[in-house]
Amino acid sequence: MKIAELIGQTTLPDRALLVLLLAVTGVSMALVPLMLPHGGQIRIEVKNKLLYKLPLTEDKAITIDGLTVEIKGGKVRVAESGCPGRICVKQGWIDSGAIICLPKRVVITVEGTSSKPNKGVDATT
Amino acid sequence: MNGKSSKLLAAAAIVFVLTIVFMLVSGVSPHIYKKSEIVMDTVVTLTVVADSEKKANEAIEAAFKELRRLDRLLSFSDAGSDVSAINKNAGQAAIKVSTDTYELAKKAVEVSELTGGAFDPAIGPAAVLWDFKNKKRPTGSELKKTLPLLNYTHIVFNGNDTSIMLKDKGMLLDLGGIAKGYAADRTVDLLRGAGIKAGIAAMAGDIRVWGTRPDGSPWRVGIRAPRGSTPEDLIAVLSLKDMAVSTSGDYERFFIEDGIRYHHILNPATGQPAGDFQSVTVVNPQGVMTDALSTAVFVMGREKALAFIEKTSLMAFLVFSDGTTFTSANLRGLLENR
Repeated sequence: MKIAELIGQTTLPDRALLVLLLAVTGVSMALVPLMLPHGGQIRIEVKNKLLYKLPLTEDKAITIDGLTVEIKGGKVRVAESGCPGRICVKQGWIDSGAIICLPKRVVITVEGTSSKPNKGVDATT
Repeated sequence: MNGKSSKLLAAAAIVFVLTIVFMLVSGVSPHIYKKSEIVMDTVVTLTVVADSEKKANEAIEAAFKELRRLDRLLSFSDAGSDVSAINKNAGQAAIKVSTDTYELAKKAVEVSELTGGAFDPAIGPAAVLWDFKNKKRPTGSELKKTLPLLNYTHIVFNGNDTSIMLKDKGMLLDLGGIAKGYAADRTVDLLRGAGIKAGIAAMAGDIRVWGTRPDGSPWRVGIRAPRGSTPEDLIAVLSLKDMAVSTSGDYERFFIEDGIRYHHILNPATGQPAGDFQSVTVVNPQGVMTDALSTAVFVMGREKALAFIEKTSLMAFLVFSDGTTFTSANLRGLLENR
């Protein structure tokens, strides 16, 4: 039986109830994710002191102790570090997790986004 | 209302109820929370599975506080630490230390005995001669002078007052090769005590996991590819539950001079960087063991290492200098090569 025929056989209260149920379902699907913790904040800590809390949505570049942190298009990276290994620069753009510069003791954490495992792993030894 | 339309309504009602149940379950089901800080001169990342952000943050903060306390006791460089007090009084006096320092130093000497001195917490005098940051290495005669001081049997323990004394002047206790594994163990104890049922305590490459991921699957721990272009390049992945893992690698602190790689894993018998391996990964229930044993196995060199792994049924993954690998039989089921 076609959906149109099925709907044709329903009464007005049936239809009203159907529309109401579908509406509540749709609204909850839209609203619940918004109520859960969600993305977009960057924490920058230097020597374990919180220096900046910045929105991930706002493009920006800041320099801390020779370290250039760039936020663009919902991602963050260290564009330049000035330290020998440049491990933080090589890490590139991230939209979850953290970038850490050990020599300068800088920790850049993306907060609020769900934790996405790096290459399918939870930690690296 | 006729039968067909009631079926349609029933279907809509089921979809509605299932959607709400799904939303509720996903809203309160455990989530993974992570935080990184720099403690013990390294990057420490704590991952916990909790049903609320508040609970996760409180537990994580308490754990970092404990780690900072341990760092103040065990640090080789901090002038106020127990270890510094022992070193300043080498050849002179026994120093009463905290239970943590005492127990850890005892454990370090136990591992030294177990490994025939391949791991030696008295490595300090040789370690301070190497400057990997400024690419400076000691001369042969400088190293030779320190060799008699690299002797764990001259660390004297007194259990009555938890004091430690180094017998000879110039000896230096360095718990750096075991402290991070110990810290991982203490962190897991603390977080478990706080009601956190699963997570990961990662002191850089010294990692202990407990429980499982929220979906019940084991935690996945990547082993870094020693010659990878970035630290994210992996050579293998381990699936672990309630286990610790440590890797000692020649890529952590090193410099290359005249084509020779000089790295920080020193052989206590020579004071020189140990050969044969690019990295050694060890898996064991205790972090304190994996941390020290990964160094010890690295120092042993190929033949002795393979014999030790066999004899002690150690779970180990080795990457030799030529890039070839060895996986102990008891680790094969937990490891997938990349």
